[in-house]
Amino acid sequence: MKTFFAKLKKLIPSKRKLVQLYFALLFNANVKGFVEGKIFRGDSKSFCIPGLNCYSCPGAVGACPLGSLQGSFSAGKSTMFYVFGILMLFGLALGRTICGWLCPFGLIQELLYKIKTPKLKKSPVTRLLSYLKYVILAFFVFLVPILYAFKDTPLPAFCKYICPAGTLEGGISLLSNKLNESYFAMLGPLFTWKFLLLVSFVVGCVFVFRLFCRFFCPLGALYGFFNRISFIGVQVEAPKCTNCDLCVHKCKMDVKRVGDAECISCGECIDVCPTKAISWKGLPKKKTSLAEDAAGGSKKTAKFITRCISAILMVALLAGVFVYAWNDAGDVSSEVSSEESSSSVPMGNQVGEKCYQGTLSVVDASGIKEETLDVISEGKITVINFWGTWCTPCVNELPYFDRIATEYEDSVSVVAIHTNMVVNTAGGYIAQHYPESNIRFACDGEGESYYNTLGGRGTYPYTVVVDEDGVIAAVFVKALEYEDLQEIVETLLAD
Amino acid sequence: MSNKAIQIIHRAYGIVLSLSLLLAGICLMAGCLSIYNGGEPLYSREQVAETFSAIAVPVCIFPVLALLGVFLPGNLVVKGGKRNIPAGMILGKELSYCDESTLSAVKAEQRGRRIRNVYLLVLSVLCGLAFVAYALTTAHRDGVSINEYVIGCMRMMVPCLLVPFGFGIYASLWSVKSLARQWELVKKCPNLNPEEAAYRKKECRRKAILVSLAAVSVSLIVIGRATGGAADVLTKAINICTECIGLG
Repeated sequence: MKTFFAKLKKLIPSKRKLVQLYFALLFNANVKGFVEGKIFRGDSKSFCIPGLNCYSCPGAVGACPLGSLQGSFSAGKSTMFYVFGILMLFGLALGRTICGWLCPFGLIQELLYKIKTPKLKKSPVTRLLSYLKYVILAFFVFLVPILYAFKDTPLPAFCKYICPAGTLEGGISLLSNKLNESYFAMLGPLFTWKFLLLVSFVVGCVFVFRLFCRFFCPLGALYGFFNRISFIGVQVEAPKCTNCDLCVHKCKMDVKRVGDAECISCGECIDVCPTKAISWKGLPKKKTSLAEDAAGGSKKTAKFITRCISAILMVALLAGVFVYAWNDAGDVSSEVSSEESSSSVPMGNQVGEKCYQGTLSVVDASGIKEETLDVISEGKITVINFWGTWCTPCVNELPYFDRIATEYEDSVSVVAIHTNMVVNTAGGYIAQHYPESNIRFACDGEGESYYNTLGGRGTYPYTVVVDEDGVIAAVFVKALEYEDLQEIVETLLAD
Repeated sequence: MSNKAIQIIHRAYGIVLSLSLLLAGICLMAGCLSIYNGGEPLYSREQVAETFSAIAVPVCIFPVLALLGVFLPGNLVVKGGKRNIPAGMILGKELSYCDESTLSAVKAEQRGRRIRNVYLLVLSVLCGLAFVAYALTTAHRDGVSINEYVIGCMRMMVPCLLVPFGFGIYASLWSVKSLARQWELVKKCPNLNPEEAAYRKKECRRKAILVSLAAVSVSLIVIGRATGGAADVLTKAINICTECIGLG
């Protein structure tokens, strides 16, 4: 019996694991998203969560700090201030304690490491490799996005080419839902590369402790700069330290000293120190058991009650976030969704169904105007493209829509509908690139209502092609080439 | 910062405080005279209120300065490490080497100086309110001529100015003597382990950098949010560019 309980005790996760699991659930509390295969679109996504958690994950209730950082370079000063401020605040408050205690992807790596295999120990080589993440930070997170921002084509290089969290939590989560079958059509060499990279990281994490964290994670690199001055973290009290380096040997990260830029403040070195020189900074000092005995039973009771209350509050917070996410998916459908079809073809947003008409505000070089336009043009093929100035593939495919609008002016109407959010950027973009275009530019309704009405699932670009009778002929969730557009237009014209 | 520099600052502060009190007095006198020079036999509460609202800003400089006295160099204690450590950069590096009893005595002196500045602030606000209340309520008494009103205001002004002025002089003199006592305590304290002292200084520096950068980060967040930065982040988080997450 005793051995059974002893074995059972070993299975109970440590405090740190429980905290990691708690925050992984908290940051991905949108259970509805996994069920429906759609991302959460509530207001809480205007705030970044501290760890690496892709905002394209159906469960994510907050924004990814790295994705937001890369996007901010093309968005403007105010976004940069906001995102830099948040990152700095996280770094100052917690430093790389975030990596050790809050990051969902860190938890995944540690769980993979638990698989019983031979392990690669740290060495001077791994120490050298740990500098690679700073190179990735400088190049993929800062340099490339900034350069592309100057060219007006936003490019979050790290998210696009490297981030395994995006592939696992975002890409694979979305693709694994049956309702997103149409997404498979857009997969190409980029996804193949990212998938192979993800598999490499997953396999590597089985043999190497926190492979991605140690060598590749630019967020960890960023937080590492704040580690020495952060409010909470592990510290060494120099007067007590005898430089025995037992803590460094115990640590699985590539630290030179506890509390440096590589330290994730897991706390495993605290018990190892013979002189008790390692402690937590920013937290009240733990009393010894003798001190607790001296304090008496009433203090023990008070401590127990405090712990119960804390546990209840934490569960309540998690439940609250679950309920908030469930009730506020953020989708708004247009008023036209109540429109009824006068013909035998039903109204809807699928191929073969009659498309809902939309009346949206016109956008031109001077910005949003008071006049409106009807999206579906009677007697003409209508190509409806949902885009945003912040979306690189949307911006890259616009010239093809422009060409189609010009070459098939008499028979095709192209409507480019910008997202309602940050539509203030559209005017300037149109003035610079499409001042005399045949494309009819419009602004979507509040909460991207027309996009939701036509079946949009939170991904851009999104194109709907409607025939002369107003019936949906094709729906595309990928960026289109000129040939794709020409083919569908020619087919409809021949019919 | 050396103790001498801190004493100079305290003395200069005392002088500026006195001058601001003088300014407040002159403004109040001018306010009363402008009501008198209005020449109308009947005057309204609104006229009085309008006159005094015009001089509110220069008068308020005095209580604000009194409040700022709480934050003068030598008056602040910053928590550092495991124990309360007066910030080395404020009181001089010698304090890092002092033992606990000296630190407690120094903290007591600092507390005394801060409390006196707070008292000065409260006293000046109370006196100011008393004066304003007298000025506003006298306006509506029957049979009170303008002359009498103005003379009454000036009589009221004397104690309302003298009391905080006198207390301010006392507080400044007390502060300077308190600093001298503090300096003597520091000079006499036994030296600590230099390593412990260096660790304490390092902790103080870390805390100072942390607080400064935290203030900067909060300002950036507030400015960014107020100018639409949050909307941009929300847009990109809820309208996913598929290629940007590797689906392409």
